[in-house]
Amino acid sequence: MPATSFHQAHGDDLVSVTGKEQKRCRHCGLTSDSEFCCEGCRTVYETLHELGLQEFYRWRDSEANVAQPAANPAFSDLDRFSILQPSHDGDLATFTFEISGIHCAGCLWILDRLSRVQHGVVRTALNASTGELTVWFRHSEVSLTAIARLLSRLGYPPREAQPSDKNKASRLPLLRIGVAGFAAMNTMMLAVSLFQGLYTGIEDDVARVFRWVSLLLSTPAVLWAGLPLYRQALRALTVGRIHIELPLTVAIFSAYILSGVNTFLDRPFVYFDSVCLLIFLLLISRSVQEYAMTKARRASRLGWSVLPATAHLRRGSEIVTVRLEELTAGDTVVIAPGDRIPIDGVIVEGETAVDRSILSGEPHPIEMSVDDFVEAGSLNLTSQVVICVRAVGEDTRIGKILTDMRKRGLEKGALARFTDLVGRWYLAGLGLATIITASLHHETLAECIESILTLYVVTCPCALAFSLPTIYGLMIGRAASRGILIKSAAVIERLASIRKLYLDKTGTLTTGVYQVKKERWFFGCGDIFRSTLAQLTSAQPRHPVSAALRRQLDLPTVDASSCRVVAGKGVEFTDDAGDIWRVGAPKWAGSVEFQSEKKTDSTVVFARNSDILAQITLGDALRDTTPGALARLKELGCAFHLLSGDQESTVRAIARSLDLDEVSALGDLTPNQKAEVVTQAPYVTAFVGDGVNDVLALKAAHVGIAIAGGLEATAEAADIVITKGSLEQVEATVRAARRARRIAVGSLAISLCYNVAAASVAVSGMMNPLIAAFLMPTSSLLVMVLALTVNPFSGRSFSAREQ
Amino acid sequence: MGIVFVLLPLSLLLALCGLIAYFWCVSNGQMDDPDGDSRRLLLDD
Repeated sequence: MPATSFHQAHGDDLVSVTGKEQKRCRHCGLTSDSEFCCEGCRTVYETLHELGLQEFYRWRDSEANVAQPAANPAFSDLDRFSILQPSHDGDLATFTFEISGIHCAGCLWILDRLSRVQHGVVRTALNASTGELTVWFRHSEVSLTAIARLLSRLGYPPREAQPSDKNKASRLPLLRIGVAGFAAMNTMMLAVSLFQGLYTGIEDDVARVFRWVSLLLSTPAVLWAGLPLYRQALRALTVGRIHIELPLTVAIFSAYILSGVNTFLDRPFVYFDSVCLLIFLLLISRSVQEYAMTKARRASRLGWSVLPATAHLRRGSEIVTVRLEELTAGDTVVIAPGDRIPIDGVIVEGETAVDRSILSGEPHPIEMSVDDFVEAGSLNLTSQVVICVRAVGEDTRIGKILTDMRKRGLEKGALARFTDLVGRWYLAGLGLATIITASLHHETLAECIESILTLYVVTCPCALAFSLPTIYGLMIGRAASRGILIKSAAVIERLASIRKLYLDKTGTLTTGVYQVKKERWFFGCGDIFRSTLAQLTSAQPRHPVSAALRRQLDLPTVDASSCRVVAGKGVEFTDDAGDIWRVGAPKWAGSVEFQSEKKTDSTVVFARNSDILAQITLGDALRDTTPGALARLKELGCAFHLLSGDQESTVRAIARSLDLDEVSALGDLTPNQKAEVVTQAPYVTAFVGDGVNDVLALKAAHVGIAIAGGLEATAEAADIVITKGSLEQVEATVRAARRARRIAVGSLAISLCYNVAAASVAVSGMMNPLIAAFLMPTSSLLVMVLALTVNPFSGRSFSAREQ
Repeated sequence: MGIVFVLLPLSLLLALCGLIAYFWCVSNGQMDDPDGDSRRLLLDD
């Protein structure tokens, strides 16, 4: 049964709780009392068979295709070094992970029932909104390492949860919204009665009671729920700046105090409902934006360090595993093939090939031998080497890059700054209007107060204050559902203004992965050739050439213990008949020279006793979607520059193939040079990249866009992270940002026109307080509805492409 | 019209009970996971 073989491949941690062999679901493989664990699995199983897609189970259970346990070195030492300290209560320990990959009810189902899958786990509690999974487990029965590996294998790579000011701070905004909403609804109920009573009549006692109750209900909303707004206004004032929150604060307190005065003096016009509704809508709009941005930032936050947490230190004749922090310059560490190099250093023993793509962005393996300098983050591909440490941690090149990019502050976009500017002029204008109103309507104090109150209520800049947070907050949320993580509202405004895009080549325009471009089999590709090639490539499954061959030819993983890796040349195997099979460099394997058409392409041969059986060309290919996405970005008026660490001739060739100006294609660039090019541009720029070598350029650009699938560090540095797709999502985001800005400008224009018109009418004395009380919330709600209902991602261009 | 002086406190008391229930829900963590709870709705058990 497929499910059984699936668990035979991975059954080491999947132990039956009862100790007896249990049935497993035929689809998902989890323990079950019957053939399927749920109707969902039965339906999927039957559907796949009806459609003739039962091959899915063969593919899934093939060892070559099953996800391997995460090689994250932090997992292997979780318990050993107590890097992560679970809290203990006897044998029961608890620990909180932060996990990613949750996207459906099925994910919640399996994570809530982890105790059924892993012996020793007592229970789990998952917060899907924050991605925090708390696990209670018996320390004597299961280790933290095993739990972390299980989560990774299930497709939910875990990391240590950030220490959280758990929930007290995050619940306070909800409580404030509740109080403001409670006050708004109830004071509105009373206000309707009061204003109705102005026309149809109301007893004085009843009206008085209603006004006093309104005052009591609105007091906690004004004095407590609205505190965050006043604090922001005061904070800005202390540094000599005026933000939009200041006129809002003035409006709120003016209306509250004047309404309170009217209540004490037993006069009819009070606006407690308008005040409470204003506070309620402002808190909601800010919460929407904050929630969307927090979610996006959390999803793109750097997880485990890109470097291993431990290293194998050679002390004399023995090798001990130590924490990275214990290493110093001059120590010698042993790096096994397949391990990531944790330090900067010089090779003192051995030869190998390393993958420096994490720093250079290029996937070609580089041959290294004694006295060659290697950098932390590189991947050791072929042979064990001994390295003398030169730098550790933040002193390594990759450490400096990561440290440099962590600084980011809160910022406002151009429209938000414009709103603040309007707020400053609003205060000045309001002061002037107050003087004019008082001078025109000063027969009695009561008339004066009512005229001023009417003016303050009807001209409240609330729409200016919450239209932008609502529009941008919703756009960030909608973008996230498409796999586009936008970290702040200011980014949207800058993205709408860009006219020049700087593009990294490898991983952005191309797949970034070695692929087989051309195969030439001289004697066909029979079973014996395939099985031998499977054996040879299984000796170095992580080498880019092996990985590309295995993908292209669908080769299984087999025992490769009889194969011999020749550093810098390839892999060979001698069979029982004495034939020598080789795959690797043409001159070594087949005693011939082959020249690839492109310098960045590689040619390998598969040979038996130097007789060439196949010639295979590998290289990095353009993504299928790249030409179309570039064409659509051109339609938006964007121009392009290609920046790459690859050879300039190759970069120009790519530019030619994409019908781009060759002059704008620059190669042989270091990360600093990339950043310099971007910084010197005299216009608003965006940089699109995916490797650590792009981090500085991502930060230097006005908008940094990271294509996921690259390193987590770029996700941390970038303003926008594309988690699904690539350049076509960049085009969609630019288009949506421009639409969102048009909507925001429209909202601001409506708000400004309304305020100017309403203020004019109020100053002239033609505004009835009842009309003012009606207009103020109506205008606010109109702007809110506009923000809520218009989707920047909607439109023919988006839906046609999605079809 | 005097009935208003009975109805008003009653309605406010009712509304206050609602607010207290909301406070209890928030403090109890029932609003901590809107995404997860909306998806768990689809599960059978």
